[in-house]
This record gives sequence, structure tokens and C-alpha cells, in this order.
Amino acid sequence: MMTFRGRLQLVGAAMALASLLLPSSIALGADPVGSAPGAAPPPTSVVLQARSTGDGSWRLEAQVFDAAGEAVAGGQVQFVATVDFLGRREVPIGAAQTNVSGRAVLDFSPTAGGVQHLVARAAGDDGRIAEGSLELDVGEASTAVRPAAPALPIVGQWAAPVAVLVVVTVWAVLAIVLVAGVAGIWRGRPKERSSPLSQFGSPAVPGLVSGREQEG
Amino acid sequence: MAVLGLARPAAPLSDIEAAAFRPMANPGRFFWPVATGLAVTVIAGIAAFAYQFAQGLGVAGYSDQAFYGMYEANLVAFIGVSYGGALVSAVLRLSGATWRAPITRIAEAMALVSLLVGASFAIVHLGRPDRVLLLLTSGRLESPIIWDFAAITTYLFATLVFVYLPLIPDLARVRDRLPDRALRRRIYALGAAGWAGTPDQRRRLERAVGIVAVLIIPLAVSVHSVLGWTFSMTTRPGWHSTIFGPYFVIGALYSGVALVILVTAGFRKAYRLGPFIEARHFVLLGRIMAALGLAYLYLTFAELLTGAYTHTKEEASVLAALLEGRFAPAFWACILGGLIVPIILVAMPGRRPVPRLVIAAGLAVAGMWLKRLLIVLPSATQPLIGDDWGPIRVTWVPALITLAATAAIPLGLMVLFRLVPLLAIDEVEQESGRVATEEAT
Repeated sequence: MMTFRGRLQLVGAAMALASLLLPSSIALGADPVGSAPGAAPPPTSVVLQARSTGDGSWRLEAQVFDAAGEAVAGGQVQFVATVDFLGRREVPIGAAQTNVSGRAVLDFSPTAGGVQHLVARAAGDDGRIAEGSLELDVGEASTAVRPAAPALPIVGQWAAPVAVLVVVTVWAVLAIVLVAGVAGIWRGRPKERSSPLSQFGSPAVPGLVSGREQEG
Repeated sequence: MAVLGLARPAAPLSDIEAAAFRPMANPGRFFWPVATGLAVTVIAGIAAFAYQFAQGLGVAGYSDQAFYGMYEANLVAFIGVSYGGALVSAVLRLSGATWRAPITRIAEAMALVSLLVGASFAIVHLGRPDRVLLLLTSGRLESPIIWDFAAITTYLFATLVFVYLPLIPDLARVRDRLPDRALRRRIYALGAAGWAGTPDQRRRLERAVGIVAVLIIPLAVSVHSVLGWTFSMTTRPGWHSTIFGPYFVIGALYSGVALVILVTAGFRKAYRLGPFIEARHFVLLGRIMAALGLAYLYLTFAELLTGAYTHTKEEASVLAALLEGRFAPAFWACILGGLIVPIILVAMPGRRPVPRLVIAAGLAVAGMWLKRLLIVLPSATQPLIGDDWGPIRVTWVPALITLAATAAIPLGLMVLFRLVPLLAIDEVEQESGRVATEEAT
């Protein structure tokens, strides 16, 4: 018959053994394909949505689900824009990681207007790739560069108009000089002009005839 | 073979006319093989560009860490050499340098052709050349790219006008040597605008040419200044420098005069123009080239000294790479071979200056192309974060396109001089007559 102390020792040993075995069992129960503890399960579907944040920018949200329909947290999502330019081409526009809700968010400022074909792609450790796409009409694109105002306000106010004026003036002067010059030469031609060389009938052309003419 | 396709007996030509018409009437047995070889090279370059257009700038060695390269250097270099033609023709005209008369036509034509070739690199270096029209529809006036576009197109228009106006009397000479009903005669007659050499016509022409000559100088200065500001208006170390405007102008003049020497020597040899383009022309051009080379050396020194003295970390990194790092061999080769040696060659006395000056000019042109590459690459590949410099990959695509552009200049000149006289006949005769009158009095 076990004494009270013996029973206490047995319970303590059991608890110690459980504390050792429990993490190991969790580790053994994890994904067998070499992923670290807590890694995202393989994605099987991606839902891509977008909403305007104003000023020409958009927030892209990719919701990643696994085969069980559960959100995939900690997964990497690549966002690309596809264009048709001598074939289908992809332009990477950014990447983001999914949060605990399986949502990856990217702020997107399109530099080209019109309809954008966007794709969000998530790849699992098993090599499977899931993607979701979206046709997004961004309307007019705003520039990604917003230059700061010049230090001198007068420069900012007058530089562009003066530059345009200078360029237009130069083009106008060149055009006037060309047209007026040619027109003046045309008007100054003699009224009855005959070729000043028509009096010459001699075939002698020193220095310019070919070998055949010289032999002839 | 009749003169200029003339069916009727030809009229006697003066010596200058015979020489000027030589490429038009009898280009020589090497013309077609050389032109064919150059044309094949140009076509290969166009094919390389088509390949790059389809595959992207990555095939040309461009990347996020090396976003500028050979094309940008070519844009500056090829447009730069066009300024030499403007200098020889416009500046020397206004300063009364009568000796320039036999070489003005070659210089002006070279300016036009090299400008056209150089400006094409503005499209070649675009990742999406099909969007170039956005410059017109969506351009921002604050952008130095727009300034570039405006300056280059304006300079191109001015160069076209400057090439055409002095050509009018010579087109009339060609017109007069063609059969009355020939289509070619009508075309040349259109270009000649009824020229008959009357005093009134001559006065109008000289006034028009004078105005354009005055205009083209600040235009050329503006083009090369704006090319420099495209770089210096950024804050990248190595580019953000106040000296870039005049630096690019002097560099353009130096390489431009050198190319005028090379092109003039080539056509002089090919078409036996020795009696008109003498050794003294090369000596005078060589002196101008040497003076500009000294000025460029000084500006290079001033720019490096300023950067080294202020010693910001990023600026120091670029300077170190240039003076003693990955770009050092090219930099010192450019300084020694492209600047110092040509100046020495020009200064050397000797009986046969033309070969010596041609070598000096060749070194200058090559050295200045390398210098433009050394302006572009160090700053474009410098890491702003971390220590890994961008990769420099020279693939066959930019190499072939650059070769094609180099071939396009002599090809363009050869084709042009099949259509218009090689020498400015009227100008040479006017200057000779003026000199003879002055000597008589």
C-alpha cells in the first residue's frame, strides 16, 4: 500500500513528465513539412479587394484562406499589376504579411490611369500558390511625386510662364527669320532668269569627269 | 558618267565646285562598301533596340541599383559633339574668322547629324518608349526632363535653319547644272528659292544667317546646361553640383571641336580636298580644342576639389570610388588619355600636324565619352543604404546600340553629301573675293 508521501512523489513526477511531453507532442503534431512552430498553413484561396483612400491612392486588402476556410496568419502576399504590353507582363507593386485575421494590406498609388488588373498572390511552404485578382478602375492617376514649392515664391509664380514665353519666342523668331529670309530671296529673284551657265556648250569639265568620260 | 546626272554637255566647273560636287557626282569606289557596312551596323543597332523594347531594360544591364548607364552617357556625349559644329560655324562666323569658310559645311552637317543621333537616346533609354508622348500631354514644367525636351527640340530646329540658309546659294548652283525638266532640278530649285546671287538677295541672306548665328549660340549653351542640370537638380552625391552647367558646355565644345577635326580629316582624305582644307585649318582647330581642354581640366579639378573639401560621407564615397576605387582606372585613363595627351599633342611642334592632330582629336572624343560615363555611373550605382554598389553590366545590347549610333554619324554625313555640296562654295568664293579685294587695296 502506497504511503501519502509516495503518492505525492508520483503526482510530482507525473506533472514533470507531462510538462516535458506536452511541448513535444505539440511539435510532433505540427505540419510535417519542416515549417517552424506557428507557421501559416498552406493558402488555397485569396480574395482581393480595394478601397479608395482619397487623393488618387487605394488600399488593397488581400484575405487569405486555407483549405478549411480558415484565415491564414503570418503569410507573405505579393501584389502585382499586370499589363498587356507585347504580351502579358507583371509589375510588382509591393508585398505585405497577413495579420491574425489573414488580411494583408498594401497602400497603392497608381501612376497610370484607367483600369488596372491587380493580382494578390500567396505561396505556401508546400509550394502551392493561391491568387486573387481584381479589375480596378482608378480613374485618373495622380503622380507619385509631389514637388515642394520653391523657396522663393516669385520663382514658383513666374518661372514656368517665363520659360514658356522664352521657348515660344525663340521658335517664333526662328520661324520668322526662315520664312522672311526665304521669301525675301524669292522676291528678289530676277524676273526673267536664265541659267547663268547656259552660254557654255563645252563638255570640258576639269577635275570632275569619270574615268570613262576621260577615256572617251 | 555625267556630272550630277546631266544629260547635256557640262559647263566648266571652278576648282571649288569640282571639289564640292565630287561626292555627288563621283563618290569613289569605297563609298558603297563603306556605306553598306555602316548601314548594316545601324540596322543591327535598331534590331538590338527592338529586342530591348520587347524584353525590357534589364537586357541592357539596367537595374534598380544601376538605373542610369551607357544610354545617358551617350545622350550627353552625342548631343555634346554637335556643339562643335555650332562653334565652328556660328561663333567663328560672328568673330570674323574667315579661315573657317572651307569647313563650315562639314561642321554644320556634323552638328545636325550628331544632334539627331544623340537626341534618339532620349527615347532609347526609356523603359516604356511608347509613353514618350506623355511628355507633351502630361509633362510637368518643374521637371528638368521637360527642359531637356524643350531645349533639344528648339536647338534642333535652329540647327536645321542654320544648315539650310547658307546652303541656298549652293543649291542654286546644283540646280543650274541639272537638265531643265528633271525632277531633281525642280527639287533643288525649290530649295534654292529662286537664288540668283543679286545684291538684294545676298543682303537678305546674310542678315538671316547672322540672326540665326547669334541665336544658336545661347541655344547650344542652354541645351548643354540643361543636360547638366538634369543631373545636378537631383540631390544624389556626385551630381548635385553647381558647376554642371558650364562643365557640360565646355565638355561639349571640347569634344565637338575634336569631332570636327576627325570628320574634316576623313572627308578631306576621301574626296581630295587638300587644296581647300589646309593643314593650317587643323592647326587652328587644334588650338581651340587645346584651350577648351585646359578649361575642362580646370573645371574637373575645381569640381573634385570642392567635393573633397566639404567631405560629406556620401560625396566622399563617390570621390573615393572615382579616384582610387572601382572607377579609378577609367578615370585616370580619361584624364591622361582624353585630356592631357591631346593637349600635349596639339602643343608639339612638327612638320606634319594633321596626323598628330587627328590622333589628338580621336583621343579627345573617346576620352570625353568615357568621362560622360564616369559622370553617370558612380552616382547612379552608389548605395544610399548599405555598402553594396550597384552592378555594372555592359551587355551586348547597349554596346551594339552605341556602335550603331557611332556608325550613324559618318553614314548620315555620307548620305547628306550625296545630296548637297560638301563645301560651302558661295561662302568660300565670297571670302576669297573679299580677301583679294582687301589685298588689292
